[in-house]
Amino acid sequence: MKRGLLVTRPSYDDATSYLFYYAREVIDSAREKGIKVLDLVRPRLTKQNFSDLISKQDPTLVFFNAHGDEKRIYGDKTDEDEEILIEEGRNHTLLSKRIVYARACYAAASLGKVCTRKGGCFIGYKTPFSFWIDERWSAKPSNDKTARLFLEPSNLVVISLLKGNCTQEAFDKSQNMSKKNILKLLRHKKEPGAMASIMLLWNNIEGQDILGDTNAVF
Amino acid sequence: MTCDKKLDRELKELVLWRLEASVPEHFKLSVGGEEAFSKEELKMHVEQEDPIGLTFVNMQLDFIKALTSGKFSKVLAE
Repeated sequence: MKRGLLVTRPSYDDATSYLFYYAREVIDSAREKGIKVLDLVRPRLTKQNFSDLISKQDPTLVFFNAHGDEKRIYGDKTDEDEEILIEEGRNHTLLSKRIVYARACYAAASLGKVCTRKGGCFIGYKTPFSFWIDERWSAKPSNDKTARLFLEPSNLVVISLLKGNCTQEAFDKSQNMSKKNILKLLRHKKEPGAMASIMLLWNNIEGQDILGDTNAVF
Repeated sequence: MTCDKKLDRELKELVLWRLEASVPEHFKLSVGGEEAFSKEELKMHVEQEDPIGLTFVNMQLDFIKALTSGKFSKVLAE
């Protein structure tokens, strides 16, 4: 396996366009450190390219930004359908022995478990990964302080790994940043949307899971 | 919670009340592998008790349970 980061970044609706933008911050951080980044965006974001890159470049760390369910992680949407990049029972072994962070709904509920049977670590969500978008900033996600409350702690999983933290440390740092964001919001709980954001942050904390090797290092 | 089981009327009203009281008009929710939903759309999904509505109800319930059981305070204090 080679020390490298593979990132999938579809962008075809509000949710994926926010993930697309915030994942860019992680990519910038990796490149500043001289780490090789394989950035899969349209039109190169296809199942075929994904499989080829995994096989040929053999990256240690895979960071999915996508819609997902218990058994699948999706890629880009072409015409009406989202393409499945990884599916339990079909090609999940592509992720074996790697460190995976799936910023996608439900993927830790089942897919993450089978991916780590032969080694590696899978960090993801056994419930929906969810966040509020402030519509007033949807054209400029970087200024959306509401979405940042959710996406910064999730970015921290990969940023911590890039800094040399082990998978458990990266997971803990992400959880702690979410908790800090809740405490900040509690101090201003009468502000519009504060309680709604606290509720979602709590759900993301509860739903985030780490499976497999908790001492794995990038 | 499954789609074929009707929500308790009082529970539904509680979730709709919390939605109305705590979510600003300019917020949209990204959840569950779908498009993001406005406050009005969320209300409709909860009223219809469809998968998105039930997901939102479950999220609210989990949060209320954590608050009332003391789990929320305990986890934040860790």
